[in-house]
Amino acid sequence: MSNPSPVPDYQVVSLIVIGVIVMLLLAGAIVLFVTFYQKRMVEARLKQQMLESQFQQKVLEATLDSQESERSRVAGDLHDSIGGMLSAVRIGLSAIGRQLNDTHVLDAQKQMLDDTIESVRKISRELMPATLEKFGLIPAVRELCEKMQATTQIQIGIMELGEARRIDNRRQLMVYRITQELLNNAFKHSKATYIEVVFNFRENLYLIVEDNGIGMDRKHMEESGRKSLGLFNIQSRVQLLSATVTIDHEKRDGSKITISVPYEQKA
Amino acid sequence: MSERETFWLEVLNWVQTSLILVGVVTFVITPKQGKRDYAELGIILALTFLTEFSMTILWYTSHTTVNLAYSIFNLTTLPLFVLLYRRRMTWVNKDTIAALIIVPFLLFGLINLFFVQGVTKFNSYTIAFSSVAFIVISISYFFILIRELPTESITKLPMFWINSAILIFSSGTFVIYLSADYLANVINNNMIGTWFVHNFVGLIYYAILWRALLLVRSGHAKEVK
Repeated sequence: MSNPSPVPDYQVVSLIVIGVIVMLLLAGAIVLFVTFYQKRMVEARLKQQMLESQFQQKVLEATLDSQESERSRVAGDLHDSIGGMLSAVRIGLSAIGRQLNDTHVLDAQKQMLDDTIESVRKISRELMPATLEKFGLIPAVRELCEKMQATTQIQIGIMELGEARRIDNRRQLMVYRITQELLNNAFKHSKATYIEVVFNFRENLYLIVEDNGIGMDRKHMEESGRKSLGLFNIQSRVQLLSATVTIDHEKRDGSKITISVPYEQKA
Repeated sequence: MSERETFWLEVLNWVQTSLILVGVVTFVITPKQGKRDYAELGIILALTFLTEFSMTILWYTSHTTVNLAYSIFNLTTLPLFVLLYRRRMTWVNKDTIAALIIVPFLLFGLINLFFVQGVTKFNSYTIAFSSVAFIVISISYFFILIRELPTESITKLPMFWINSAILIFSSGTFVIYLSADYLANVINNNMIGTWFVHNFVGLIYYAILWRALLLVRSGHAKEVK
């Protein structure tokens, strides 16, 4: 059969083959482009998420820092200013009392003033425990437990295991606040008669708060976790400490919460 | 057609048919959920194998080419793939889009089969039409994939590999199908060279599809539908 094409067969076929190769290269380029572009997009998205999370962390840190510094300022003002003034008023009352014959009415006023001074001191100590700054975490928690035990009549045991390691003041304060919040929760909700606080110094600091109360309902916890300010404060601090919380839901009687805190802030 | 050319074309054809069979077997041994998710692909592979195998056997026994069977097979491929894509689209109007592709294609294919190129000839126009549709669909799917970013690594999605295979095969064979009628009927070329290239692109296509099937089987990917 004759070939009516002015172009030789092999040239036509060659042109087609070139066309196929060009189309294949284009398709391959599209596939490669999509693969690399997607990788870049995912990296950018992860980077953005990381920046957002860092920003949130900073905001949280700043909020808690300002909360602590405000507490410290209020505690200082209560102790130094109001406490000082009340003490001065008491000295004045004592001086007046020495000039009066009947001190009966004045004694009652003096007693009331003493109670007020004691309350101011107590509030000031609770706001910013001086023991924490002066003697460290364990003595401060021990003092806290003693005070709570005295007011609530619940037995609190405190145990220290392992060789104590130094933690910087900021982290120490956060661990103290977590312990304070966990004890408060146990008092309010657990109906326990005994609470044990354990500080176990191992590769991390393990803070364990265990009680013999009614235990924790997982569903109830999840629901209240969204509303409760106390739990929110614990979560915030745990997040800032890069710590982890383990709740022993298998425990039959009472509850057990373990918080593992690294000694130093992770990079 | 020289003996050497025929030999190599046959070798390539057998390798391709074997690769399709491997694909079918891989699909058969895929867990139920994978089979359900990629049922259309399984049907396409099974139909491809049956068509290719029967055509090869007929070629060896009676040296005849069954263009009608091949044309009908080609009429089913695009609709089945469109249904596979449709299941993975999050668009509200995906049914309309699928209908807008399938209905005109079937109309075009049937008119071409009965009135234009005919039942006895290779329906290259229909396949060229489907190649263009496949190229548009696969590029659109890539666009959606980039926009939605359903996973951290799209290469772990079987659909990424299926889409890549379709894009590569359709782009590579589009020029061949477009020129097939001219080659066969105008300049009376034996098309051995072009079929050689076609089968070579087919090898790449089935190898990539196999990779997708392996991913389906291992359950690596969690498709976002």
